[in-house]
Amino acid sequence: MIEFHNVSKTYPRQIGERAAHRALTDASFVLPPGGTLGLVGQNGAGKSTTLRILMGYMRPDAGEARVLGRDPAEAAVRRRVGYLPEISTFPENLTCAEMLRFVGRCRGMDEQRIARAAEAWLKRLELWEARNRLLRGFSKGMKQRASFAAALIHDPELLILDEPMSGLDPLGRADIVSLIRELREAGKSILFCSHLLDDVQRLTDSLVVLHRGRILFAGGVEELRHRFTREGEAPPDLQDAFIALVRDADTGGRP
Amino acid sequence: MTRILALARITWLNGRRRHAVWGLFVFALALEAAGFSFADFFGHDLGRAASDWVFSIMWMAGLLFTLFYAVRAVAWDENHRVIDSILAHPVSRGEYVLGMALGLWMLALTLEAALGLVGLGVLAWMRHSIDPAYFPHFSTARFALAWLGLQAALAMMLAALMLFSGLLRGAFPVLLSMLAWLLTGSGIPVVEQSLQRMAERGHPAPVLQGIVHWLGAAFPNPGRLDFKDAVVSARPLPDLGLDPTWALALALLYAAVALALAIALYERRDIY
Repeated sequence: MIEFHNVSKTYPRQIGERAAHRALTDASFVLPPGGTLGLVGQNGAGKSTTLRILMGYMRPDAGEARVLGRDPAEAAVRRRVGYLPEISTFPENLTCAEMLRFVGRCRGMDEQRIARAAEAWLKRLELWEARNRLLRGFSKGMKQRASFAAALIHDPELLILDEPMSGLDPLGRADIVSLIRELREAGKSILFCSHLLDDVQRLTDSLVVLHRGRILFAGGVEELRHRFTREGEAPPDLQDAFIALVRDADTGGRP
Repeated sequence: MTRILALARITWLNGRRRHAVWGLFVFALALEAAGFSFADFFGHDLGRAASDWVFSIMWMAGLLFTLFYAVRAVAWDENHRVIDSILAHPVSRGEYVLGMALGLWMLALTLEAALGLVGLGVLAWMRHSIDPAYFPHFSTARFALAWLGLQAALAMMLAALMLFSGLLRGAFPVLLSMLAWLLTGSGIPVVEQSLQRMAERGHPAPVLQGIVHWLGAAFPNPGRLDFKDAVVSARPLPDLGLDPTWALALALLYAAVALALAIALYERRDIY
């Protein structure tokens, strides 16, 4: 579904900066069909750059990125992908229904199919009553759920979710966790980027840890936890294993 | 095409609900309606003065719309990552450029159509309420032609705006480029005239004249699409020095080339 082979990306030097910023170095990972992959890292680790390359918003300087076997810069690839950005970014003077109609039209759906899918998703995400309100009046959590509806309206094969729990209250978060589980059980491939490692542990099979633009770890969640298990103790949770991994990388393994 | 139209529609809807656009509309409408008071100030050539006023207000509204709304609308999409959501659904970059340009043009057309109808009403009312000696000629067809010229100038400006938005990042650099583009376009005819006079006095500068002539292709003079003199004149258009067919065709060609270049630039740039 997603292949990332030795990808590097450097941002050009900006006014006031001494050097260009290298955001990704020789990064490689694969998301197989039906798989769920968590992309984690600190701020500035290269997660957003990875997602922007996968969405075709920018091209790698070196290496190759493939989504559904094709160049992600092709708009046709994005037809089969559902993307949830970290912040809801639709024009704010549209109503939720107008926004979904726009998405449906762009995805080649007819009016009846758009209406059916919009009703189903808006009811599922508890936004049906607010469908004719302008997005600028939505709370952060409502905007996030509206963006979810937009990402799912066309029944995509692959979902790329950037911080899907961002701005959600505990109930909303639990609802989205159960929705992602349903999607995973339905056979969707999911790339999931989050700071909330509890959610990553609950929702993903495998994990890619990015640190300062390099991949520190790519493998199963349990594999990472067992790597940092002390003798005679239970494996640490994913958050402790992640912190240990990043500290090891920063100190070169010295205590 | 579906995606271009869908994007143009949401750009139009989004703009139509902005207070800034309504403010501009009400301001321009108030200025246009002030044309009624002209009857008290102008004894002679009232028709020309009133027509100039109506078209100047429409031109000013189009200019303010382009420089203070459209410039920001494009940069806003990038700064607030609206473009991410649009491209994800899945609009290609070329479709984005065309949809955005079309949406902004539709918004400008809505504004200009309303102002045009009010302006037409103002002029018609004036003509019927004063002595024909002060307002002898008025042609609705020529009013429509002058309005069309204004819209072609706006289409050209919006296409140039999309081109600069593809070249530069942020609203302010695009605004400065647009101002430079407008001033250069309006200034070239003056330089051309000056070089012509120098040549007539026996000091020809053929190289410079050639450069200035071709610069006119990159920086067109919107004044060539100004047909308002014809609205209140009975003289044929060629006698007024106007060639609307050629001017409109060149404006549309310019807009098409500028949009094609904007698409080529957008296809290549990284969206951070």
